[in-house]
Amino acid sequence: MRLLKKEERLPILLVTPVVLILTGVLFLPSLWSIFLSFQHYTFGYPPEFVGVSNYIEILSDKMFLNAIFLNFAFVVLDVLFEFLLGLGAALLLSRRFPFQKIWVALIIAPFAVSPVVSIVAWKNLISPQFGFITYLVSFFGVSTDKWLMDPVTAFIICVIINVWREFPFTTMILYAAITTIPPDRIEAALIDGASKFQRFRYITMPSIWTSVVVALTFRTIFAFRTFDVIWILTQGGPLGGTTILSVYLYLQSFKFLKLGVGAAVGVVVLFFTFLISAPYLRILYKQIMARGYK
Amino acid sequence: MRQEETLRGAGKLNWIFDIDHKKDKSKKESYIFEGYNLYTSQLYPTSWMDMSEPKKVDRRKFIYAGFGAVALIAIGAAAYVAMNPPVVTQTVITSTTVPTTSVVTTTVPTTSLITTTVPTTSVITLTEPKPEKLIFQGHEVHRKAAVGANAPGQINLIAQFEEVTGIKVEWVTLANPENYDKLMRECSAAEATINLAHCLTTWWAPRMANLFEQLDPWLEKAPIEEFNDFMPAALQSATIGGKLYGIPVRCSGSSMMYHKGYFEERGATPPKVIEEFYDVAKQVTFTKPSGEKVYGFSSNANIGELYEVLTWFARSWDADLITPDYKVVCNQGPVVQALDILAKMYRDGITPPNLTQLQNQDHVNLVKEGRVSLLPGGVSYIITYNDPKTSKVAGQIELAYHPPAAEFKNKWEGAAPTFTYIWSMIIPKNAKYKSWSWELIRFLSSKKSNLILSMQGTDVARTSVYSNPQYLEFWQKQGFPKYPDVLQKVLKYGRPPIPGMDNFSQVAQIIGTKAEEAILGKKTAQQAMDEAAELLKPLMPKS
Repeated sequence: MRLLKKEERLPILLVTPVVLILTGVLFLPSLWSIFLSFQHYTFGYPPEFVGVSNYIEILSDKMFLNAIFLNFAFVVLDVLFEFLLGLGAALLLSRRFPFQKIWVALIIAPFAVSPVVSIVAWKNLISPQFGFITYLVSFFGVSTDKWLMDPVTAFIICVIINVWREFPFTTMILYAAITTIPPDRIEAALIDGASKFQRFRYITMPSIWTSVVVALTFRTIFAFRTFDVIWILTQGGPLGGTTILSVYLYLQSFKFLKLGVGAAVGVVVLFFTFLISAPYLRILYKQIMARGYK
Repeated sequence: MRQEETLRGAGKLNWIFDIDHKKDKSKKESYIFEGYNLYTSQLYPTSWMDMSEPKKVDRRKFIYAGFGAVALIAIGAAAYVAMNPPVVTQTVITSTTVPTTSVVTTTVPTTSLITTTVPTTSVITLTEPKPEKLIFQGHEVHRKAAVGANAPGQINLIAQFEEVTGIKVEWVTLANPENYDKLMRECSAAEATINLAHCLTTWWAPRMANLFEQLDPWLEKAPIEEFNDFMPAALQSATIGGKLYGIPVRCSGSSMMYHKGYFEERGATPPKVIEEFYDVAKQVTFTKPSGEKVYGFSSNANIGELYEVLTWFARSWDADLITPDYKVVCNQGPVVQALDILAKMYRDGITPPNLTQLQNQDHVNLVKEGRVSLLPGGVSYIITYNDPKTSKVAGQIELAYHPPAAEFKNKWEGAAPTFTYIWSMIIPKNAKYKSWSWELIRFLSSKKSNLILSMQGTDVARTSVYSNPQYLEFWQKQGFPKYPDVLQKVLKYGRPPIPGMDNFSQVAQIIGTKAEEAILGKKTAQQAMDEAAELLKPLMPKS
C-alpha cells in the first residue's frame, strides 16, 4: 500500500466524514439485518438464534419464488419502457420548438409530485365507481371494473403508473447528456450524408452511452425496490399477482411480525441488487478506464 | 535532474512530462513542469511551482483535519447513544393533588338531545410532570365519538378533559389493519411516540403482556367508578394470565343494515333468513337513470378484513372459522356455504367489482353515496351513515337483525349470533406520562362519559348504560327505535370473529387470500377453504 501523495490526502480527508456517516446509516444496519436474518424475532419476545431456518422458510414458500419472478418481470418492463420513453422525451426536448420550457415542466411534473399523492390520484381515476378514466373509456364500451381485479391487468397497470412516475428521471439524465454532444460532430455527419437513424446510432448513442448506463443502473436498482405504487394500488393482490419482493418483505416484517424472515428477504434482495447492478458497474468502470482516468 | 515520464492511456493522447528539479534553494530558480503532447506536437505548460521561496505552512490542512476529527468523535458519540439510549427517569418536580370534587363538570345545552353532565373525580396524586399533549391512537370511530363529531349537538368529552387538565389530546386514527401494525411497532420501540391506544379483541395475544402496561396497580391507586358495572366478557377480553391490561371502551357488534328507500322502490323486504339473502340482494341491485349502479351488497372485504365478512355470513349457522379453543373449522359446511353466497353474488354483479380491494373508508363512502342497498356493519355505524352533513342517504339507512339460517329461525330471538368486537384502552409499557394517560382513561371510563359515548357513535361496555332511560329515549328521538334492541341481541349472542393469537395478522391474511380465490372464481369455495385450513393449522397456538 503506497503512501498517499500530498495532493491526494486533502480530498480523502474531506470525504471521510461522509463515508463514515454512510457506514453508520447504510452499512451497519445492513450488517444488523444480516444478523437478524438468522434469528427468530418478533415483537414482544427476545430474539432467538435459529440458523438458516428463515432462509429455508422463504425458499420453500411458493409466494416468495413467485415474488422473485414477478419482481424481475416488473424490473424488465419498467426499465425498458422508462428508457424508451425517457430517451424519446430527451431527444424531443433537445430540438427547438415553441413552448419548449412548458413541455419540459409538463414532462418533469410526474417526478415532482409526491409519489403517494400521484398514486392515490391514479387509483381514484380508475375506480370502477367514481373514476374519471372509467367514465371516459365507457364511451368506447370499455369497462374498468376488473382492471385491478385481474392479476395480469393489475400488474400492467402498476408498471404503467410506475413508468409514468419515473421516466422523467431518465429524461433529465439523457437530456443533459444529449445537450453536451459537440454540434460539429453532427455537422460532420450531415456533410457526410448520414441519415437521421445513422446520426442517432453512430453519433448520439455512443456520445451519451455513459449517461445511458448511469440512468439504467439507477432505474434498475430503484425499480427492483418499488413498493409504494403496488401497496397503494393493490396491496400485493389480487391473488398475489402483484406481490413482488418488497411487498413480500413488508408482509412478513410488518404484517406477520416475522422480522427475522423479513430480514432474510432483505438479504436476498440485497444479493439480487448486487447481481443486477454488477454488469452496469463493470461497463461504467471499463468506460472510465478507457478514457485514461485514474 | 531531468526526469521523463511518459504516461499512456487507452486513448490517443500521450504526454511527456519534463521535470526539471533545481535542488539549490538559495538560487531563485523555478521548477518547471511542462507537458509535451506527442499527438499534437505541442508544448503545454501545465503548472509552475516556485521552489526558491521557503515553503509556507498551509494551515487549512490542519483545520480540515480538525473538522475530520470532530466529525469522527460526533459519529462515535451518536453511535454510542443509539446503542445505549438514556433511560428517562421520572423525577418528582411538583406534587399536585387534583381536587377531589368534580374535575370535569359540564352541562349540555338543552337544545341537545343529550342532556347530561359529566362529573368525574380523581384521587390520584400526580407526581409526574404534566405533558403538553397526550397522543391517542385508535380508529376514527373512537375519535368521533369522543369529540362528538358524528352529529350536531354532541358533547366534546376530549375538550372538557383538555380544559381542566391543560393537556392537549392529539389523535392518530387509522383503519384496523394499519392500526395493529403501528401499535406493534410503537410498543416495540425504545420509547413509544404515543401515550395510549385502543386495542381490538382479535389482537389480544400473549405477547401483549410484554408490550402493554398492567393496569391492576393503577386501578388500586386510582380506581374507576363502579368497576363492576363493566361486562365480565369485555374485561376478560383484555386480561392475560389473570392480569388486566386494558379498560374496555367500545363493544361493537355487527348487524345488518339496508337502504329503506331502495327496498320500497323495488318492493323488497330485508331477508329474515340467510337463504333469502341472495335473492333479496339481487332484487335490490339496479342501475339508476343517471347510470350509477347500485349494488345489492357491499362490505369492506379487503384481504385483511375479508375474514370478518366471511364470519358474518357463517354466523347465520352459528359457525366459526376457528373455534375459541383454536380448532380450524373454516373448511366445514357452513363456512363453505357462506363463501359460496359471497362468490355467487360477486359473479352475478351484485357486489362491487373491486369488492376484495375495498377498505373500510371506501365501503363507507359507497354507502354514503347511495351505491349500496344491503350491508353488514357495526351497529353504531347507523349514525355515520345517516349523518346529514356527510351522507347523501341520511335518514335512509335502517337497522335490521342479521338473518339466521332457516333451521335456527327461532333460536336467537330472530337474530343470528354475529361477531362482536371489544376495544380496550391500553397504555404501552414504553410510553411516557402514564399517570396522565390513566387519568384520561378514567375520565372516558366514568359512568357519565360512557353514557355520552353510547349516544355518540360507540357502544360501551358498561351494562347499566343499556337500561338507562335517557339512553332508550335518545334512540327513540333519533329515529332509531330498534337500535337498543338490535345491539342488545348482538352483544348477548355474538362473540369475536376469531380468537386472539400472536399470529392473528397472518391468519387473517391466509383466510382473506384463499377466500378471494373463491370469490374471483379461481377455485371452488371448498378447495379454497381446504387449502386455508392446511395453512392455518400449523399457526394455531399449541395448548
